[in-house]
Amino acid sequence: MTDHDPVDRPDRLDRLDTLVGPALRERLRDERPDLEHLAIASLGAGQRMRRRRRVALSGTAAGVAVVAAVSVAAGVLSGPGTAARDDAVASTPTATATVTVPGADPVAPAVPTGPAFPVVVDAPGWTCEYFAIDEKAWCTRGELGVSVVARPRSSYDDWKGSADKEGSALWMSPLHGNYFVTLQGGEDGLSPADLTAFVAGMTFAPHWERP
Amino acid sequence: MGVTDDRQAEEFTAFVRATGAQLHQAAMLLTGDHHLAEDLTQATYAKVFTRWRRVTAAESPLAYARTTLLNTFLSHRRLRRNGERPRDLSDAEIGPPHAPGADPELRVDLLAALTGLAPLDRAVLLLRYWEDRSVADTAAELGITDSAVRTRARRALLRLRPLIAPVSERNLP
Repeated sequence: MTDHDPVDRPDRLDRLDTLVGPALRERLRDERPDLEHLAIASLGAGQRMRRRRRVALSGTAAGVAVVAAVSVAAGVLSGPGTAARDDAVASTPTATATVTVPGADPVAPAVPTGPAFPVVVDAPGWTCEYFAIDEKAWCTRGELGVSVVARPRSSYDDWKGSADKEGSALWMSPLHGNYFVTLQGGEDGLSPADLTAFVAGMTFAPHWERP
Repeated sequence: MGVTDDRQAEEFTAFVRATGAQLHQAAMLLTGDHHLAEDLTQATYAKVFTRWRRVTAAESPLAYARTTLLNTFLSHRRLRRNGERPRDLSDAEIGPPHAPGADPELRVDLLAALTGLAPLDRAVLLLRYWEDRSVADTAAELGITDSAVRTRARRALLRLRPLIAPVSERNLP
């Protein structure tokens, strides 16, 4: 676009200025979240964050340093962690944290406690962080990113065939015991081959011990 | 939970019910994806809950939540370091007509068009055109200059122009 391009003239853009807001509002007018689900899920996540902070604070007071070490090792089925897509939530893992006590072996991991994420991804080039307590894993490969979300069996019928749900996911698994998973991706976009390789690298536990 | 915790949970739940639609719509503008918007909204409210006393003491708890939403979105994008850059629209982003009889040239969905913008451009769009904030306010909120806000807003307008401007205007020489 050049300065001489008529559609780029400032007066035309000024006119657009007044049209953008109403157009966006019109487009989003019918976008309504499930407020009850949002309230319950947000409250639960917020309470977990508070508990983590309290634990971290009490650990510090006792002279215990909690080293945040998110599990990225494939083959580790148990990996309770924190929230998925948000840095403040997700970067404060509790599950696979290593606790280091002064005088103790600094590399000895704490015994994992809490829930486990039921899926492990071992796909070439992908690195995943497991946030079991928030029922999600976040996997990256270069600029690509995929969120793996575990969902209870009770939601399966709502998801299957739904344009808004299954239709907007990159992929939806069949049922595995009491759960299924969906893959969500941003605008980066995976090629079909990438997605196939990713799915092929997923290992499913027979049962999900939900947080 | 104690009495205070119970009361906070009740207040917080009422707050989510009252403001959830607005925040979710803002998250849709930022992410362009239903599930990412749900994740972003939930993560935002979780943070809000951890600071509930501060939020309720704020002049506008909703404004506090909206700022948290924006910061959460932008910090997550930085964390990913995925080098997003504006790109052209693809055929896959062309959606169905908004309504029967709609101009076929208007088929490209607004949200799909937004996903082609850099995250900071989307944040500018949210503040300038969704919240009707001034250039100066937007710049202050995002920690960028007024000039940068104008540049990013202009880029956003250029991307959305084919979807918003009347066909007749677009056909002008």
